[in-house]
Amino acid sequence: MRVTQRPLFYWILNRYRGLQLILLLVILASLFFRVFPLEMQKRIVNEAIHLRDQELLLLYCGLYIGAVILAGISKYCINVLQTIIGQKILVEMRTELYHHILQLPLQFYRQMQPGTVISAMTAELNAIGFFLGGALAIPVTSVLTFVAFLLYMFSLSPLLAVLTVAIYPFEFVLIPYLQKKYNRINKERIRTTRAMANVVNEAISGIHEIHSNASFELEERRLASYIHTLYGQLKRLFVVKYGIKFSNNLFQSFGPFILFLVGGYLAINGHFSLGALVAFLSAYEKVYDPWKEMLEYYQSYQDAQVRYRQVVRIFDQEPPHPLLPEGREVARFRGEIEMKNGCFTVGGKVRLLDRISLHIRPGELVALVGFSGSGKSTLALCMAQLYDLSSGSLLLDGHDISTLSKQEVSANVTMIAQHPFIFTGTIRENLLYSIHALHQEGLAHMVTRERMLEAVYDVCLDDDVIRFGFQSVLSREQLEPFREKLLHMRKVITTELHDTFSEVVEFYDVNNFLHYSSIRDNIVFGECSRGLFDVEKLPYHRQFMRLLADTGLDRPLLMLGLAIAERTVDLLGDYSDDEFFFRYTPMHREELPLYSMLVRELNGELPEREADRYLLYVLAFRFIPGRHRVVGMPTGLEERMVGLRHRFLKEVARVDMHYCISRGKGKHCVSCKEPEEEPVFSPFCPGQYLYSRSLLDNILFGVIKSEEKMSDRLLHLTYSAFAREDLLDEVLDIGLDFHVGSKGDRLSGGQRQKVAIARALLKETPILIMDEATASLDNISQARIQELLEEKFHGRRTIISVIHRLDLAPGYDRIMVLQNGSLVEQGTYDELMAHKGAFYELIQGYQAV
Amino acid sequence: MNSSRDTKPFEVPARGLIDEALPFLQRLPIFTDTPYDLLKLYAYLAEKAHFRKGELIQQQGEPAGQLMLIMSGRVAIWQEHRGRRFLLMELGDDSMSYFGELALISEIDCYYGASALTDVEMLTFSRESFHKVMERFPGRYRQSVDRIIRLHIHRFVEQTNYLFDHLRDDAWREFVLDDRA
Ligand SMILES: Nc1ncnc2c1ncn2[C@@H]1O[C@H](COP(=O)(O)OP(=O)(O)O)[C@@H](O)[C@H]1O
Ligand SMILES: [Mg+2]
Repeated sequence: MRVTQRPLFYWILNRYRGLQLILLLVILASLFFRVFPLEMQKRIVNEAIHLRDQELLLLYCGLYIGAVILAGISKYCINVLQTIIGQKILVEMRTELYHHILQLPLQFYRQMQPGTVISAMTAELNAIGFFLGGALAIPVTSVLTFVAFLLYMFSLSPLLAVLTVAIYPFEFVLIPYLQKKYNRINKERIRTTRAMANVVNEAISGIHEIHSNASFELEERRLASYIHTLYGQLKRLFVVKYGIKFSNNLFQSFGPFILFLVGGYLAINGHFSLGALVAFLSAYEKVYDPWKEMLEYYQSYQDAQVRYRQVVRIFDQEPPHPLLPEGREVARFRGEIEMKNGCFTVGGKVRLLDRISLHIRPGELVALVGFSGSGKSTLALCMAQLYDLSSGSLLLDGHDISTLSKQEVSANVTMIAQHPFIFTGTIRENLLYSIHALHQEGLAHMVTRERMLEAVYDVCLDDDVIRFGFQSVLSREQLEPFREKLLHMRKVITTELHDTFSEVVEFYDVNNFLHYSSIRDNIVFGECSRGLFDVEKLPYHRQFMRLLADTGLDRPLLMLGLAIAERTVDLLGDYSDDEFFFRYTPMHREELPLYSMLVRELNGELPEREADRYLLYVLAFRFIPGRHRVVGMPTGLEERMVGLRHRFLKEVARVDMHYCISRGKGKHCVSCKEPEEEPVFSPFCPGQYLYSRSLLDNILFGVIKSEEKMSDRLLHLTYSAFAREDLLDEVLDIGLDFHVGSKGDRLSGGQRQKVAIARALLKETPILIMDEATASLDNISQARIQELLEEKFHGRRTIISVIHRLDLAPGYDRIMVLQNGSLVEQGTYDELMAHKGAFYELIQGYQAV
Repeated sequence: MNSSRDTKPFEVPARGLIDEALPFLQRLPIFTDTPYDLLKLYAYLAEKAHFRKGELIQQQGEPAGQLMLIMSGRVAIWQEHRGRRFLLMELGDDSMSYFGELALISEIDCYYGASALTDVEMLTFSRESFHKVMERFPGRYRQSVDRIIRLHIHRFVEQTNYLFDHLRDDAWREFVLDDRA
């Protein structure tokens, strides 16, 4: 039976029967433990107290408490079992439903809002799951308990029993009436919630548009109407719900009233023992529990039923194609495509494709052209079985495509969509997406690293990926396979290629002053994982400040700070509202008012107050001589800075730079004992990888001089250095692990298309369909891919390419021209140009632009 | 404010790039009658660039984003046409010492290329900086554009003259400088 046509109880009756049986047994056992204490109550009053027998009292009390504890334990077991069963059934329900939903045709999703699907799969099913576990057990328990207590009451006094339960039938009328009302409102509520989910979903997906149009109010109003509707519905829902509760409570309090009235009368007249009255009272209270449970069950049953129907109704369609072929192996096609009178109609009327007949030979390279809206994408989608023809036939290697399974089509046809979807994850994961799917079905081997890199080169993604590789900050595990190679690369760059690189990079050298590093970096000359030596903390670092005073550098640095403050305030005093102007000064924009005040107060003198000195030190520590223009380095200070650095490393950071440089190869010159431990402080030591820095920073081992970090010149140099050492593939490998962000947000449009093309190429299917797949690429990459199609794949794969750039048309074996859903012309470029028909006109129009 | 600093006897912060650029800009004819405050801001936002002899400074057809001022050295301005490269003019710190002025007001792709004939030291000033400054001195924008256009016409005249001077000898003098490697 199709998953969406199963009634709710199908799941309950067909799943986990063993567990459900155990549940039932536990329930029966618990029943006994629940009635037993009542009998004990009676006996305690009637026998033990009455006879003043202490031993009997102890016995009965012991039995009483034992039964109560066992009843509690069994109740606990019932709850746990019930939840487990419910959730287990829910897991299956979700899995099967999702399996079904994913296979529904694209047409279905054109009409369906994602929010509806999401809320159906998540929140709405959750609520059902809660019901599922107890669906069988609860009614059984309740009815049995109810009957058990009733019988017990009957055994005590038939008259009282009949009287007290006489009111129940009223509820049988009232409650279902209220419940129906509840169901109706509940249905509306579900619809509103879904609509709300859709509005929110759309707003989040289109947040770009909302921000750029500042249409916040518009969107808020859209949601507000739903919020209010929901409010109204929930209000009515709860009014009814509490109405049900109220009537219940009212009926319940009638019981004791009758009981005391009649039971009291009987007891006074000696027709009824006191113990029996106590037991009866308890029984009456207890009998109400299962009754309440039954009512609640009834409510949640109705609720779950409503939700379940709402959920399955929207997905109630047969998937158009089976997933796996029946009774045959998945074959590899030669790549022949034949369409006879293919029509594609939407809404019963609109013909998007009109009686198209075509025949494409295996290995042919075909271009599909036409104005936008002429049906090119629609035709492409039909060929990939993503749309189904309304009439006519489409044969792949002679097999009617409508009879082929999804797996067969997927193993033979690859489609690259106009706006490809990139999944959240790394580039590598995205590239392997299609292959993974085939691999799981045993239809493809996993690709080798070489094959993967080849695809990356083929689509010109290498530059982008290498750039990502350069920028990646590697973790210890990621680094390990590459550590030696990268450190080797660093060595090559800092020694053999030193002169070339020193134009763009200032290398870290423990004996040289660094003009492109801040004063802080010049002194500290390393990184501290705990931020111990951050600029903002340094002035408070006692040991450090003492060292500064010892070397007599405190005063020059204060003066430097003062000069920076004075000149920045003078120059930029009027521009504190624009970050731009603060590029070349160590002062931050928001600090300007503070420093303005300080400069005015100091009037050219060095400060005495600790807080003021702090402010000046911070500016001095941030100062980068090569970048900040307001002042220059005081003469003679550079050398003294280097001296200070050596003392700092030795006395404060306690690292042995000498050891590190002379023979530190592979050794850790860091201030922690265990090599596995995160080093607290790592100096800029040639043999030490800096984990907080990017790969590029690490191999350059210095500071990039130009402001633009990834300047073309630098990239070019680095690129050729890596190529020289034959390490580019390693960087590519690292770059492939770049995280593309949610839906590929961190990639440009062109990069997304390249990833999609590479992903498709890796699949190596005999038929490749490209729908303007290179539209957002730069000219060079576009030409590369065109070359790939015309040379590497020519004759090996059937390629149908929807092209927008008509200047590429001459390279195709055949050009098919679509107009308003009809195939109006086909032939080689020269034929069509000579014919002076629709294609000729298209070309004229294209060239005119 | 600066002067008081300069007289202090101990380690005084040296002069920054701004102090180097400011007098240079003041000397340039194109900045005559530019107010001191404005000039100071220009000097602060200018960048220094070095090119070695033979190095390509600006590729023809690439976007041009800055005004280039030559502090020392000589620069060739050329244009490639039908695969051949022609010298349009030679610039130096003595003569016309700037190019790229149009880039300040318009996002253009460069119709010419520039290469260093000797080691060259330059100050560059980006369009972004220019616009940021002009936001602060909106009254001067019209005047600056006017000045830039006049500079450009001046250049155009110089270039044409240069070409005329070379027309008689060998029609167009072809210019070959090996910076394409
Ligand atoms: N599922 C659909 N439902 C309704 N109209 C559609 C659907 N898909 C496409 N269209 C319409 O069909 C026409 C052809 O679309 P398409 O094949 O994408 O054109 P092309 O790719 O040639 O630009 C367009 O007018 C488009 O609006
Ligand atoms: Mg299209």
